[in-house]
Amino acid sequence: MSFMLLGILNAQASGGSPLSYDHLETVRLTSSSSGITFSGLNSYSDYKHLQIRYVNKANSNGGSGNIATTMRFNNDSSSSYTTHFLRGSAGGSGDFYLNQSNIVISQMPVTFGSQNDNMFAATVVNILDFQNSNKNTTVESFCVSESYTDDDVILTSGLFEKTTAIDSINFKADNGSGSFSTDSRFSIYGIRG
Amino acid sequence: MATPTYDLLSTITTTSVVSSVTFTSFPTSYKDLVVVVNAKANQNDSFLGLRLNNDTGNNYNFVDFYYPSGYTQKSNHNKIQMHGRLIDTSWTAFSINIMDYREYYTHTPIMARYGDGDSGTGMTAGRWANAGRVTTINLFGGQGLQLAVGSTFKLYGIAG
Repeated sequence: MSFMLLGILNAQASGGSPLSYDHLETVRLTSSSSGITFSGLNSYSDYKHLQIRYVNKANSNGGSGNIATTMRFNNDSSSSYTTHFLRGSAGGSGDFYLNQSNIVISQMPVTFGSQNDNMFAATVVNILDFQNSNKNTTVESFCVSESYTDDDVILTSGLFEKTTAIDSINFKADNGSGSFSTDSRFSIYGIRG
Repeated sequence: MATPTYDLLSTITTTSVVSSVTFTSFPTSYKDLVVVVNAKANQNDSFLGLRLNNDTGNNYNFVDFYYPSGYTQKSNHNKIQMHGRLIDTSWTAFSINIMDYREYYTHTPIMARYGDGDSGTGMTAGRWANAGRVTTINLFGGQGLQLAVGSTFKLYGIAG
């Protein structure tokens, strides 16, 4: 019996639906890129929520610390995004970005010299009610970024102050001023509801 | 094409007091693993530790943020420590993500969130400084802590 089938049977036995969480797409970079986009999300009308799981790293930008992964919806670059950032490093600190052109969703290591070569950040982002056109879209994420220079554990909440359904999601390295390195991986999942 | 995933791979329920539990022989066909823990200590009060591939070397780095008692950061340590208090009076839940566990190009990122029924909540960022494929996951109580009867450990696979 395959492990997949075993998992489905176990999920059924425990009362859960084996069809409530589906993998939709994965992008794994084979060369560096300033950003990645999931588009055509309106076609996923079977789902209530989206989850994106990614493991990423930035190419050298001359610095050595972590830099941000930023997120936009529907190619909207207006000042319609708000971020709250709770950083668990150094005993806890917070940041607040109001009316920005993107959500500062997570952090990631930057390669410098041979440092951080194998060090990737990991993030799980939940995008709730993404097809609802009566609500502003809210997101929450959990990120870990452990590198030579930074040890970050971060909770983020984000707001997109538009009521349009989400048809595309774009991630950039530091709002386009940096680039994601080869082998950065982004996977998107649909959650029924 | 949409593919159902988040598959339950294995469940361990302790039927006696034990110091550790281990997952082995899980498939390499998934992208990420998630371990969901609901545990209680038999006695004492300590953290939940994690090691991969039975590696007891100083190859772990982590930062742990726990409310209300602050944070712990260690580099080149011999385990990941999740400081959700494992106590003998209430159950503590942990959700532990082990990302890109089968890949050889990345150190393994580990992300955990937890909360106990007594006093606190927290989160942990970890990195196993080894680019090897994860084949064994070991979870154990810190400082001699033992896991009580009825503690559950569930391993899920997420395709990607």
